Amino acid sequence: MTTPSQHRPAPPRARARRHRALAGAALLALTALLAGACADPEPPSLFADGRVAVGVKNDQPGTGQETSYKFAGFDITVARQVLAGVHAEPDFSSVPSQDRSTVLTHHQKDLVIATYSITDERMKAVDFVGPYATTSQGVMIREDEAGTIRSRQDLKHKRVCTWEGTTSGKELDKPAYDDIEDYPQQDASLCIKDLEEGRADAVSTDQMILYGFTQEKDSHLKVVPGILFGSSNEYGIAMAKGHRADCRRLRDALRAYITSTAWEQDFANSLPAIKEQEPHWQTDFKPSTESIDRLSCRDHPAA
Amino acid sequence: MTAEDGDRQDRSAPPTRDIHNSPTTHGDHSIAANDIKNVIIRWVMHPSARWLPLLLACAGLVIAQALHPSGPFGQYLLCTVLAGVALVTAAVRVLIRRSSGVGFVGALSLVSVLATVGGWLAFQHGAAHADIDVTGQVVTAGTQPLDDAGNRSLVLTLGESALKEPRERLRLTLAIDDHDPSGPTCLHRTSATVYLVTSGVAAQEEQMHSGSTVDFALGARTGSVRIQLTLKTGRNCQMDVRAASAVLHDS
Repeated sequence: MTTPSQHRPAPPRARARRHRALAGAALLALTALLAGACADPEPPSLFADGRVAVGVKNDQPGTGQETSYKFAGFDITVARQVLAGVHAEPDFSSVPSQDRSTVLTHHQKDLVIATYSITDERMKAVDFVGPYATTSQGVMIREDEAGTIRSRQDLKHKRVCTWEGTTSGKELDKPAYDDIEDYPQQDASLCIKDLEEGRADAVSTDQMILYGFTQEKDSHLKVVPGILFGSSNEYGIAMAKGHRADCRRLRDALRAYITSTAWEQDFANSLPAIKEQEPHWQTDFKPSTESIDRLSCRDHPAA
Repeated sequence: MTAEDGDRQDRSAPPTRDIHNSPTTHGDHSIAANDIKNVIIRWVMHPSARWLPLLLACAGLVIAQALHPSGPFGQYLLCTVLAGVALVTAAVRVLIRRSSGVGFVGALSLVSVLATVGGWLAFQHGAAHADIDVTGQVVTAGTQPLDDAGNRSLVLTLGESALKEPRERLRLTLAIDDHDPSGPTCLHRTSATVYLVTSGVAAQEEQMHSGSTVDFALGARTGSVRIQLTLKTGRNCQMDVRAASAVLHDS
């Protein structure tokens, strides 16, 4: 039942007030819509559906190796540990060294965790979370050559294999190493084959990778402890730019992982050869949290 | 009251004050003051005086610009504000109608002239104490890239020509970069010790990273500035060092 007053038309002043209120609300809604349309669209989180496409190496025992469709190595362990910190799980697939940047910029992978060194140049193209490990560039030889190649001088006029898309090859191209006959191969496995079959006298890349090869069953290869090239490489987890919120979440997860005892355990499990042969492995290969803060989620390293 | 009474009252009442000329009623001092006042009023209201504050303000601006003042805009903020006030009030004075009150016209002219004078003084002060950018005049002596072994030092100098206008301090910002940006980065492991070794000034030592700034005291009259730089970086790192910014300034 309605009262007579409900049927009575509203007075003109009340109607005008209502119209003004409606117009105001419409204007507000329109402004909000326009603001939303003009603002930079927030990209969806890489971890939103709990699965992350991770590019890894498949031919580097100890760091990233695929055997019977199963990936293993320190990179793989780091991926699992850090992604667990952001409640996501990795879907691994292999990526060649020379494609590590393009699979990210072309959105074919969400992350690349593939012994990928952080450089100023790469930081302009992709974002890094890291370092999760630090290593120097070294040299690996056949065990039967251990008596003849013991120092940098012994590499004069020797054929040293490196592979494309790595900082190691670029380092040996510097004039300081003109007396070394370095040559590039397409990937690590071809270099190892060349070394084993005598076409190369040595293979040079990061010691973490080299020690991984020496761990292989029936390996007759050896890392020469006294030979180091260039400055330390810092391995980072790479991702396409434009995901800084995800990057910072991953950085925090990595920082928590590095400061826990799990890092040492995982490193020693994946690369027992380093634990056996490098007495200071915990200080030489483990990065500091300060370096994580200075290199993660930036376009340029912070000093 | 009759009309005669009214006339009598009018005659006995003091005459109404003539603001333009009342020289005889309040003593000698008042006569002189009123004379001056009248002169000012005549000057202010004179048709040819309309343009004078604007011309003065414009002349000040043109001369200031012709002197090419150095230093950041912020140091000339007061000067700019006063110049704006001078120009606006002078423009209003020009545009104002003849019927406006003497007080208002006088105030506009006064404000414009005072703002012009104040702006000029502020400009002179700004120019005398302005920051001087001498980045391009820093000479780097030493072989680059620097490394962690035998080649860790270089010397940054500022010659007499850079220091011809005396300033009390030097604000120096360093840029340190990886020599090879495509190689592993060393920037986060690199720092530099800078040491001011200029005669007549107490030696000063500071630790710096890339992008950080130090502020050295230079003393009253420094003929040249010499800064010794020693780099500390990671093993086998090669770094390039340059002065990203060098600014002479007063405290």
